[in-house]
Amino acid sequence: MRLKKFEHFEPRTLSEACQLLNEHGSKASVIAGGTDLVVRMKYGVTTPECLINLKKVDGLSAISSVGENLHLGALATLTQVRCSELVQERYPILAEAALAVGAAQLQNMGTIGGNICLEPRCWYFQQGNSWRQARPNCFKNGGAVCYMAKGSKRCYALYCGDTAAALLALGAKVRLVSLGGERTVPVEEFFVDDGMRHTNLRPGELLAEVILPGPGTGQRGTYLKYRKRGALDFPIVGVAAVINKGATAASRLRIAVTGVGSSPSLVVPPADFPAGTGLTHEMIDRMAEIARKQVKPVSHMEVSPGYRKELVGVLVRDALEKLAGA
Amino acid sequence: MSEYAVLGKRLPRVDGPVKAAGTARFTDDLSLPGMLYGKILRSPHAHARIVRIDTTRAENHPGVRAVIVGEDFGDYRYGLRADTRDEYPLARGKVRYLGEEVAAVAAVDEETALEALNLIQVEYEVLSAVTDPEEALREGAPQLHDDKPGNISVHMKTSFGDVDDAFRQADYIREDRFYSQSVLHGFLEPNAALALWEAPNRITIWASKQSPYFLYRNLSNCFNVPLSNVRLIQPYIGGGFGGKNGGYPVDFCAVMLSKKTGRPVKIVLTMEEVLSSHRRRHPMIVRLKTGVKKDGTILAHDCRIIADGGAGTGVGPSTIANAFYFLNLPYVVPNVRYEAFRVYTNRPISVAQRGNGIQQIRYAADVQLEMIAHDLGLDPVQIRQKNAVYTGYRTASGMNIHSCGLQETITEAVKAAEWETHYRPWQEKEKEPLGRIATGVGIACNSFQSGARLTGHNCCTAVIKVHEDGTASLLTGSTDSGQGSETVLAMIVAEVLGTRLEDVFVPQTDSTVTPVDPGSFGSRVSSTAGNAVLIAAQDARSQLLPVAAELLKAAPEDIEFRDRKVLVRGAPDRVLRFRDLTRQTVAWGSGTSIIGQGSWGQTVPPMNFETGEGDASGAYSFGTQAAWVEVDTQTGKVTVPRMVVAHDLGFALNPLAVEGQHEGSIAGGVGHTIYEHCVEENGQNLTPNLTAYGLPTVYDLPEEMVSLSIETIDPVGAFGAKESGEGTQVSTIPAIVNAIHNAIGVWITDLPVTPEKVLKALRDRKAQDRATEGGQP
Amino acid sequence: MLDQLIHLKVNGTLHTVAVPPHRTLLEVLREQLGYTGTKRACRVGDCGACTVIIDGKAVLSCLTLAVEVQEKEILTIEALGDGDRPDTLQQSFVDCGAVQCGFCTPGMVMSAKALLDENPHPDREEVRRAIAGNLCRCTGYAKIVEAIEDAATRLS
Repeated sequence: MRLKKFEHFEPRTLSEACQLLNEHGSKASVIAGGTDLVVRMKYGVTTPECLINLKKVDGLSAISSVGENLHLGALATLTQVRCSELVQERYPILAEAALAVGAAQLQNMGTIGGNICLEPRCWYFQQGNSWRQARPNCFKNGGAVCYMAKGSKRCYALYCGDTAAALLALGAKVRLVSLGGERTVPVEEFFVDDGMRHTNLRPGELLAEVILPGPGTGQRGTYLKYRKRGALDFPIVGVAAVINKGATAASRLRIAVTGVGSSPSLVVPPADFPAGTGLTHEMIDRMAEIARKQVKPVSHMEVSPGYRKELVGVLVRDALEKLAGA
Repeated sequence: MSEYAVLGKRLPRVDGPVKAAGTARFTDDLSLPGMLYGKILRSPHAHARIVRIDTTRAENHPGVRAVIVGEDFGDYRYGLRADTRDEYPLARGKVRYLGEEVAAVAAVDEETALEALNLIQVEYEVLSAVTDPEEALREGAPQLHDDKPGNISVHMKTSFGDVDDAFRQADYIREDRFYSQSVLHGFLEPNAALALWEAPNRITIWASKQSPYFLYRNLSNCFNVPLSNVRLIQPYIGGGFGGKNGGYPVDFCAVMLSKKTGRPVKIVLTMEEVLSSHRRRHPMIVRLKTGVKKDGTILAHDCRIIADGGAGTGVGPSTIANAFYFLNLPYVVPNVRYEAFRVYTNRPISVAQRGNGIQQIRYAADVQLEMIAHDLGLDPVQIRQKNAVYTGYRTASGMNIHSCGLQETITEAVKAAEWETHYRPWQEKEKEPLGRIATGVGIACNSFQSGARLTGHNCCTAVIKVHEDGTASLLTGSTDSGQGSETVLAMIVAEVLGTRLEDVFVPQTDSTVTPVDPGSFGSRVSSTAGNAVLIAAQDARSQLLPVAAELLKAAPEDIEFRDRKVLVRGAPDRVLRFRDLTRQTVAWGSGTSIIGQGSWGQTVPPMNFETGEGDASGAYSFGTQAAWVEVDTQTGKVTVPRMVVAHDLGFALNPLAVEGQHEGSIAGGVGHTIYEHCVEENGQNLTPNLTAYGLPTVYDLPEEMVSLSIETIDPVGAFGAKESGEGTQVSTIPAIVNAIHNAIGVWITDLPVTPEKVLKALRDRKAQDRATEGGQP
Repeated sequence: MLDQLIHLKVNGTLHTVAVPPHRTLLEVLREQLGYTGTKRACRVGDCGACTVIIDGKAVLSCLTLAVEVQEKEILTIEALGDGDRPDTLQQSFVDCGAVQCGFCTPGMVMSAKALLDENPHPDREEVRRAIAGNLCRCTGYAKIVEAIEDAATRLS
């Protein structure tokens, strides 16, 4: 439970950070809040030779309006995000999701960028060295088995970030920078359903910013998190739902789930329904049922796949009922 | 209780300020010059023969000062009794659970010690393991201990009354199986020890022990050192709950490493080590058959238990005996039959935990009583009132009840829970559709021993030194692991000497200085140590009395000690300051130090530990708990927003401390019922961190906890006090499980009450209801 | 990976200390600077016993690298009163019976202090939220919540 030795870099600019990342490649880990990485390092499941610490990078924690959009620096803490007036006014669902993370200390330390990049986890992998030595290595540790989905050919570690679901439902984008340039991709394209490599971050690339689209007017959303305890726990299931109500154009509904697969995902194809019409109970039931059928969870932490599916249905229904009633 | 000046008052605990200031030193906060850091290598197999251990590479690693293995301790084994000594400081020949201690290292720092662990090469011959107690009993099952055939660690079989005849007389009989899972003590301070060996044969150890004198004896035996040379100094303890009673490998290894290196050695376990390989509560399968009359009067219990003991016996015999004793209480059970097997499995060792064996049996018995009430259409409160024991009652097994406020606790709990308003029988609710959130209330009763009876050393001793300035030091070996006994014992001294709480100092246990004591377990401190302190304080007072009588020119019997003054009854002008009296006595008088001494042990006739006949304690507490639950009928999640404890504790020595005990009991009980579970797969713990294990947060425990004390002034306990911190956790589980039935009509007989189980039970009930309806013409 | 000389401002005192980058703030506070009031329990962010305040925010010192908190204001439990003169919050913990074994107490007090410094009049939910990351086995939390509310009243 002590950290192994590493070299520590504190770049002052993003380009300096990218340079370091380029130089050290896979030997380096990027650290922001540290609430995920440091735990993994203590368990010995991530063993970087050097850390590129983003905390001193100028301006990386800013939350600001840019045109119609809202930009969140990757280093903005979850507390900053949830307390930001801009976020509270325009994207309250994101404040809700940030508040659902861990507990106060973890929100004070954890960053939005780190929460998005949260390493998929499972109770076979997130364990100390001696624990893991008691059985053959799983995919995450260089082996060829997945203990969650026995007999499977891939790692089924669960993605458990809370804010990603909200960002997915909001249709947010992330700006990724590297020495070679930068690109902006929608959150749904950022994630990959693979416990080993759950994002599209390319070698040498950093998540620099989250971009929330539009002014947020006419939009309502909610994030519901189901977990064992009222705090500290990762979601067993998290559901984010956002309706963009078009006054004249069609309304748009986006639902995202987290905690059920190796990446957060949109469930129920983004639905449009005619302007002026609200969600009916019938529509809600149908969407909950589609969502329930769509997810393919594996068994984890005494939660069976069937029960987790069930929860997805319940939470989708609850979220939509809440939005319909609001 | 206005007759007391100090007792019965809500006084803040004496160690509160240093704990709140962070200046209270726990074992890990201590260090000594030249100190080395120890680490323990653990078995990666649940069951294996140790073929060879090669420590050479570790020994040669820079910074490593010593490496020890099982052979270093010779054939030393430890345990509760001569016939149950089956634990080694480090494994010998074989490992019996995953995480068992195999070797230990001392190095200049923790990092080096950790590196060295990886350099120790152990060759194992893996054996097949058995992790299920029922399988362990089967023929052909892997055997853990050569001298314990059939994997039987403890077997108890006993019977009182005519059980078969009682079942023939019974109007209604139910037989059910209950399971209570593996749960941990959950203390936040990991086990830790700092040891210093001084040649040729002196040991000083600072270790986190709620019952330090077990370790004092263990170390004397293990290292062949006279007891006078074992100095165990007890730092503050970060919670124990039964998990810091005896000596453990961490202690033995710290001493052995210090002996090998000549330097002080500190070992602090990680939480991962504590949760995966330290002790835990006995998981238990309880099969209970109960016969009653039509009106709900209990006629007989026939109970069979299989307890998962893990790889060692620990204090297991007491757990098995306790389960039997409290099959007999708190309800009248005229006929009782009991057979229990405590079974070895390749899992970490089960020991006592707050309630030691009684939670498991009362969960079964009180839920089953509720089932019976439901089946017979009886009222849950009335069936308990009807069966409640009373003052003067003697159980079939010969336990004598000298004080009993059980009926009052039922009345008070029901009143505080607003039972009349909230309770509607399930039969009535059943006809209505279940809403999203179903609510229910449930009650359950408990009884507990005030000081467990022991086969060996049973007595507490206190020494009180009165200083010339009127203050006093209380030397006691009864340690305070957080429950507040230090404060309560100091209050007794202040009460008798007529001083104030702040005038009494209670240094922490130091085996060279404080009197030997059995330990802080089995709810024995307030009553047993309390009586010893009372006698010691009276002794000190009696030494001061003649001087006071002379100075005040009064008859000794007219003299009163109150609020730092010495008064003559009926003569308000004749007053002496207490400090003047002590100065006169000590400094200016004969010069004799005032040292009061008192010893007290339970004087009830010896009991038969084989058959369970006799008194398990000198006094028994009684109580009732009521739980209010909310069940989300779509997710199955159960929450307990409100809980009531009404407890007959004899006398509340310190009501603030009592409330803390009641609330803490609810916390442990709710955790056990709903959240906590030590999950294992082939003997490997999947939940070795507090998050996966699920220790409750502030959001998971009742926001409202009502604590009511019923005072019956017990003839045995100090000032009439009985226990108030363990029995209160015994009825938490059945109260909640009964409330869940009241909310949604299902019985949860398999702990913990996970949402998934609740939902499944709800589905099964609905399916059954439909089938029943469909089957009827 | 050599030790770095770093400056840590703890409770207003500037300490110069040589640490390698892989040392956590908790380790440096306890092992090198003697601030043992901050407790080491789970070491992986599960329990809150190691909570300290950095620049006004409650954080976990077990997951914070010592080298990354230079130039910041670090407050530990020792910044408050001592056993003789507890500050208001500590006094409320003592008076309300919010302390039992005392192992979670320093972290709990620091979480409470961070809350009250920022929000002197918290409602019940805000109090619960502030300590939801601090585990306590002894008390069931009710008296801790009561103590924080009591301190808020006494301070206003």
